[in-house]
Amino acid sequence: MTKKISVFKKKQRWDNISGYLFLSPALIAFVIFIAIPIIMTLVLPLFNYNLILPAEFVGLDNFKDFFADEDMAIVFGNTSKFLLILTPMHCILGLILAYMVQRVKHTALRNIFRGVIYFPSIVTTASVAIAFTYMFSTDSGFINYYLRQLGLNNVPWLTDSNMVYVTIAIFSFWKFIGTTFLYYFIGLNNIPESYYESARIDGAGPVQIFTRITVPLVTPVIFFVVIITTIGVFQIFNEPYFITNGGPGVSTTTVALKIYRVAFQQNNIGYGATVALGLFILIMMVTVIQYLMQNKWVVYDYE
Amino acid sequence: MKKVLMLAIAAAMAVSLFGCRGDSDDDQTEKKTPGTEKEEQVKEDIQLKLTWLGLDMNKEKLDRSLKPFVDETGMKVEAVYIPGNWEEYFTKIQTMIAGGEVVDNAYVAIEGFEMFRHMGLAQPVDKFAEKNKEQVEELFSDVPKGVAAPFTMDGKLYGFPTSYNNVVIHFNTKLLKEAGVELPQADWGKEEFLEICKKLTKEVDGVKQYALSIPNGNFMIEAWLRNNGTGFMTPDFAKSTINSEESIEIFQLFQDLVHKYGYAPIPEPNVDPIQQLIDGKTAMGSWGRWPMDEYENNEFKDVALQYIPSFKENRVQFGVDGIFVTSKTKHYDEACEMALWMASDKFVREYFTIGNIPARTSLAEELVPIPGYPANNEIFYKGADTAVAVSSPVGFAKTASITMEAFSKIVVGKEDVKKTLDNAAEKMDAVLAKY
Repeated sequence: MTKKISVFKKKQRWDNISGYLFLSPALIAFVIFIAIPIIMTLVLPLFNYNLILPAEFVGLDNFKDFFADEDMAIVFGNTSKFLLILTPMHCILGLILAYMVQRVKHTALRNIFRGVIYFPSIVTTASVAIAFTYMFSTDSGFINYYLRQLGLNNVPWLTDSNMVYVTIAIFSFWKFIGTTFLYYFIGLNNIPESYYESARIDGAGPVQIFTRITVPLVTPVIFFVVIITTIGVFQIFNEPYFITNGGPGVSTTTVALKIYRVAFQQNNIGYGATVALGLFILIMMVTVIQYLMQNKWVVYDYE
Repeated sequence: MKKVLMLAIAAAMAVSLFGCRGDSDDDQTEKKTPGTEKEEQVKEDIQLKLTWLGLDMNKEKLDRSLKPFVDETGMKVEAVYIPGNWEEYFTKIQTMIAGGEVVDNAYVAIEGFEMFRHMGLAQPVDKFAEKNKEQVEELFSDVPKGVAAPFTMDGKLYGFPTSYNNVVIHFNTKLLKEAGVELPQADWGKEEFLEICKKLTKEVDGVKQYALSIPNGNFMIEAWLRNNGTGFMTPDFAKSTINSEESIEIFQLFQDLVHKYGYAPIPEPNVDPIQQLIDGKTAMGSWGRWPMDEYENNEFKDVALQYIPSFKENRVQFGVDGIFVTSKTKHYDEACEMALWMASDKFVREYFTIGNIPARTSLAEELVPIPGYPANNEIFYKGADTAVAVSSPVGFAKTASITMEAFSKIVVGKEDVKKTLDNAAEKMDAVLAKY
């Protein structure tokens, strides 16, 4: 009996060692690339630090500056505008696109649609964003060229503080809708066909089927898409950086762009970390609220 | 056996993670020569690392220009090319140094001089200059005093000047000819400027041809302010003057040129105003000598120069650059030797044939006219003795960002000029007060 226990313990020890060794690459990577940066983000706001000179402890000064900084209201406001425009756009249009493509009976055609919609997601954002600025340029862009051919006036796609949101929304739709589309497409494929057949037998029309069968059953995916899109939009950087450089003025300067400028162009790492911490807390609060609210609308029970 | 195999695989995975590390530390260890060994170290063993702002396409030219130094001294030189603007370049150097990389020399523009010194990134070259008095004196005797002055901070010499730039108006002479406009005289004023703008603005096949590109950069904007007797801040960087009456007048002019008169397009990101001039979409632009590379690449020679219109005075502004020796170098004498060599005739003649204006007057006078264009190219280097330096405080990155934000609000967003500049001045004063 004792021998058996000893063998069992030995086996368990071997299992533990190999388990930890298998885990170690991921664990070390997690510690270096996630845990330490998170801890640093919590610590750095207490210091003035510019990468070269020794960090100087400043207590809560960076937080005081953060709350007194009038630019913060602007950049958080701009980010909220993006949130109000881009999150519903991606969440709703992604679902509609996925539903339409899923309804295509011809397999080859369906695959073509799927590929065409997803393709922009794999293209480098920076290069496409710069190409978009050429397309939307007021005087030399081809979009305004064709508008002029139609007898219309130039549209200030990149130079009007409201119009730039439309331009960025168009870019964001083209570039990123494929990702939400793909999540929805997979989610829709998991809905048993028998549900649709039963509904049709009961006389339900396409709209009723979509609103009464499809949408409720795809709510877990909608919830997931809403969460990741919200977090993604809170951190929006590439679009304003490459398309508008935060302008005109500061009208599209987002929190992430501000963090980059403060920390990496003005070398104020401590204050940059303070803004990053503010953004982190905001994202966490919104995500927790979304998580708590899911009970009211997300359906996990398929039976 | 299975267990041992599993354990081996797991161990291999764990070890492989460490295997990913580069060998840069080993390189650094080699470079970390203790003082006693250093003296014994032969120059052939020394590799100097030089950071340079630019794109890889220029690397070949830089390597070629540095080759005589390598041949003469036997030292190796690794040039690290960093693309982007000056702010991004300085941040990259900081990141490299903070990451433990040893940078021996850095090509630095005036915008970074004070910041480099303040952060302890640069070290004085006085000791070396003392030992090599004759060569150093020969260099500075050939550089305009004003251009050389920014290299001395707090009474210490921090580097050797290689080149500089001023800001003048570049004209597309084809468009001038088409409009029947003569190249204005050096003392042209606001009225003549607006009159010429009017003549140069027209519509061709539904596309507007503009008179000028609004100066869209900290250096160029301040050059216009200089001709109205002001700048972004006081010469000692103590107080902002961006909201002075003279400054408001110039910013108002910029806004009017775009929105009231329609003589200039709204500046847009990723639109290259130099290319616009080459393509004949605009007739004027304000730059230094740096567009010459682009002119050469486009075989564009229909260009002439004149000073910025004199609103109150004609005060040329310049920005100088040179080679600094970093405080992190383990080869002080050798790094100083390279910095001085790069300010010499041999390097400048090879590297600055096109592009910046050589800091040495003798070379500027000889090299600038060689391409045979732009017309009136002597204004690139004339007046350097009385020129005023672009404002470059320690917090340059922040003050430049404040300026460009205000510029964009005024010129693109049509916001109230005085209110915007008052706000910018308040922010700028807060930055200046920190240092």
